[in-house]
Amino acid sequence: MIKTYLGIDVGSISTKGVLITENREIIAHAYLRTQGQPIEAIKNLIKELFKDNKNIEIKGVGTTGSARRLAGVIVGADVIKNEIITHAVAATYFYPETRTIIEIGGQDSKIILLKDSVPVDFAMNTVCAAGTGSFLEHQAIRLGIPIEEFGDYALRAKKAATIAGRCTVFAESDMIHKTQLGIPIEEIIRGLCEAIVRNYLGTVAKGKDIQPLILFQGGVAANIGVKTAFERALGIEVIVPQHFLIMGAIGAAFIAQDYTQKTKSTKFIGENLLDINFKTKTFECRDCTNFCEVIETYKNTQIIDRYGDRCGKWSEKLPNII
Amino acid sequence: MKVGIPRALLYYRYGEFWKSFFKCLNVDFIISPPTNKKILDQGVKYVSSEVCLPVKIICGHLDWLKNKATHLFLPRFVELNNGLYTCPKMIGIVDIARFHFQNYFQIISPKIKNNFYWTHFKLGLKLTKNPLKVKNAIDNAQKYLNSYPKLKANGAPKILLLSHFYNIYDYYISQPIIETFKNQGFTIITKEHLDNKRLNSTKGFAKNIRWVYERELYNAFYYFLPQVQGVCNIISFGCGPDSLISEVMLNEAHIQNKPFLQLIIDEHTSATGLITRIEAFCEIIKKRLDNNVSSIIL
Repeated sequence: MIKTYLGIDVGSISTKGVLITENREIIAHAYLRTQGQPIEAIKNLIKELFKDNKNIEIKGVGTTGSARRLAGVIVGADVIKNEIITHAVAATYFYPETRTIIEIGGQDSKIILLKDSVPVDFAMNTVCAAGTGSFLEHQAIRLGIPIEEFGDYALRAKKAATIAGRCTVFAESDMIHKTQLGIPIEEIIRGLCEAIVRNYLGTVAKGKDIQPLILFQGGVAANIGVKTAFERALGIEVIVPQHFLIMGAIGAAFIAQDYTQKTKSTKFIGENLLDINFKTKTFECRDCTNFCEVIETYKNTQIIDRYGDRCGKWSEKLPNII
Repeated sequence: MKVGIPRALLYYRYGEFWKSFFKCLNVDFIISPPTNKKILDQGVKYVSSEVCLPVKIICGHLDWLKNKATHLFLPRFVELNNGLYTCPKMIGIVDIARFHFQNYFQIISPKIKNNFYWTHFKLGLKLTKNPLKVKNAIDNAQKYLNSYPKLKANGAPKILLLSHFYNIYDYYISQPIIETFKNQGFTIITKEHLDNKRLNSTKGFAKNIRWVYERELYNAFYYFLPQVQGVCNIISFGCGPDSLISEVMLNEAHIQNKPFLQLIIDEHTSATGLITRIEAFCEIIKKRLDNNVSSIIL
């Protein structure tokens, strides 16, 4: 039996998972679409990861991403950590010299600054998801270009069309207008990549000291056009790590490893979770005028998690199973 | 006559004063309850989506008060202490109220322009003919002027939670934020913990700030920065003055190497995004403390 640790990162667009050994070698990883059904995505992810790895023993589990709580409750996680810390942990493991992490995912973009491998500052996009992965994908679909080829299109352009980057609605009308002027699609895509970088540097990374080594992680890092635009804007090399897509999951697995080596036990409920029927329900509590939306997670018929109430009376009523 | 007072915006600064003032004059009044979801949902219907959250909330309170009061007390705060202004929305809220609610109440909106005392004195004279009684009512209420609500602040590490009193002390807005900080083991101080003299100081950059509450924010920021482990600035989406002053503070925090978190709030109910940011912020501060990074210059 190989001792392994499982890391799961459930984001808005994609669900990522990784299995690492005691020596922090990656023996399996998976990336699939959340498609608005996190529970199904988590089950499929587990299936995918365990498919070729029958001879393993899970010693610890960590979850992260925007659905980290749900994922943690379902699989029985030992640690539930936010995305910022997990990304930083994974980045400094592979590149201890990292000073800046640029992370652009499906709905979020963030910058993390590190000093001596310790995250010391961060910023995240505020209310608006402009310039993140889902916007790029939307544009790719609209232009009929596979998202994987988006970056190559940008690289083929000799110059960039000017596209507004602050707002996706304005960006889209800019793009439509530019295509109608007859500007080649390559230049428009390059313009879009530069707009994303401009938007990122002007909002998320505003006022932050961007020092080398710079790592570029998250789904958008797959786009070579955006990477090049970052390098052009910053004048420094930007590194896209080998596992840029699953850095969050790797970090979660590392943290789970550190944690369970102390506790010597795991809460992982095992592979049989595939046969369990998990469900989430919501109801509006009418006991006061706050009308809180309470979210419940069921394992078959048993309630395993409940949150969302401001007063805490529903979450406190829960028998302590987790 | 029954005077309705909305529990929103300036209530969180002058509420106790008004309560005492009206009580002394034997005026019957009613105060709307603390903000809840229903009040917010009602308020959103009255204003364009571009205005800030606190204005949406006050409209909900006005809606709650209709049919429960005959008069509405909503003073127009324009200028305080010579050349210090409140924000345009605070000045204009009376007009919003007039537009939507003038069929429901008679609106009492004395204009306050460097004459807080006299405005209330004149108002008092309209309510009772006895000037001595009015003077007594104001003098009695005076003691509430400088006693603001405060969060309990003992223990360390400390976070300076910077925002307007109508954001922090309206627990409907601030509760998820405050709770998350507490769960992470942090103590919160706000600008209300600073004494009045320092709060209104005009030293340094503060003398250039012409918005009264933004000046308070800046002064509190400047004074408390060395004492706290991090600063969290809550900004209502669409707040013009805050967006400017926040930039100044962000730069200063950067120079002094203190973590600074901007949180932008609006009426969306999901606290997940806020909680993720606060959790990460707290962990970064803890990691700095563990590694003694605060002494290293970035």
